[in-house]
Amino acid sequence: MERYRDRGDEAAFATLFGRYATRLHTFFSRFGDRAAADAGDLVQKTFLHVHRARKDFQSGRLLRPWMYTIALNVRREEGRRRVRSREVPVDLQDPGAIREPSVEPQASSVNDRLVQRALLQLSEIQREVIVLHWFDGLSFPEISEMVGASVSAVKVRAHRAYGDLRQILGEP
Amino acid sequence: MMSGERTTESDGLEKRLASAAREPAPGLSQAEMTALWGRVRAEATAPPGWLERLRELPTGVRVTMALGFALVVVAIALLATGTRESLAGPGMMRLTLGLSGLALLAAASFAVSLRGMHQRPLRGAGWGVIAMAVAVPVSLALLPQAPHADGRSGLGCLLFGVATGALVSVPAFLMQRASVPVLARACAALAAGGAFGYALLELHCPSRDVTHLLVGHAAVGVVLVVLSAIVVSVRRR
Repeated sequence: MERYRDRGDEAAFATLFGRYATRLHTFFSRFGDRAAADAGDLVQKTFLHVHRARKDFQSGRLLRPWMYTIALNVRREEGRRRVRSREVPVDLQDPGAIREPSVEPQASSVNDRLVQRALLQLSEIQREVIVLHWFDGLSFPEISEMVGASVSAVKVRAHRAYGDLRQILGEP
Repeated sequence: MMSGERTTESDGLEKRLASAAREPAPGLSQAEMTALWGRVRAEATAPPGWLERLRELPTGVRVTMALGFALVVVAIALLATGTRESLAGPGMMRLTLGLSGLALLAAASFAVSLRGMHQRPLRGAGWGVIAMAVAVPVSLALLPQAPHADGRSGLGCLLFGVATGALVSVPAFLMQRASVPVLARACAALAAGGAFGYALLELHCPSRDVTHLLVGHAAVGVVLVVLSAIVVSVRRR
């Protein structure tokens, strides 16, 4: 990132893209932005904001939480744009869609579909914490920095979200 | 729950989540990846216009530029219209403290307005800064003043302050990186403009009548923030 920030090195940007594009696509898909075009658009917007904000990247900072903060803000911005244009979110267009996973059925196990369905039933802020914590492996302090809440508030959200997931999935 | 470890306090749930996390990613095929990279690369390498160059500046620089522009506008307006004669009077210390505090609030408002997408959302704190930038001039106007009523209505001052405040806010709008208008950002930009409009009027207008100060000076920020809320709401429709 420093190479790209300081010298505008396109190869460095391509490396960043190669490292994060698929991860971010999966990240957006877990939120229910399930149409390939939707998640792809969000990945594209995220990288454009990375490009625009590159001079704000401070040396020594961890890149992953920085990228994910942009990705989360891109999601929020997209939510505002949809509200404005009165677009129905993809996962609400078809009532059945909310019950389906974000992956092709043949590429997904029954468990994955059930987990994905359960995730979509959580509130937005609960889903944020679970996706970032469990699926993307970010620590609570990192998540707290990204979502603008205290570490203890994030832990409480995670605790409740895992509790709700247990209930939805019928786990003891 | 420790900060680094992934635990859900349920073995069953952990197994299911771990299994779901191992599932193949809902993929981008190689062709889709190539097409996506092509689009990102094309936009990132396109020659930036002057506006895009401004938006790409570090956040601290953008905030400093917005503040600098505001100070220049206020200075030019004061050179053109003159400062009030009673400026060096007994209320000098209070005025200096009040305007210094207001300058800090204006800087904070610009920072809220120009916050980058790489920064966490401020939620209530941003609105707190906006409310303070609007409320402080009202509080200052309500403080007891040395009597000096010259019978002017506040309307002229209000219009002058609103026009200056709106002008001062323009760079903060131009340098925002968000792709869609955001209410808090718009209100913050105009709250900062309102603070500068108030400061200009305090340095220029001799009237110390409380009604005049409230209607003509302190209301500048209120009017600008309400106008920005209306404009953003209309644009959302």
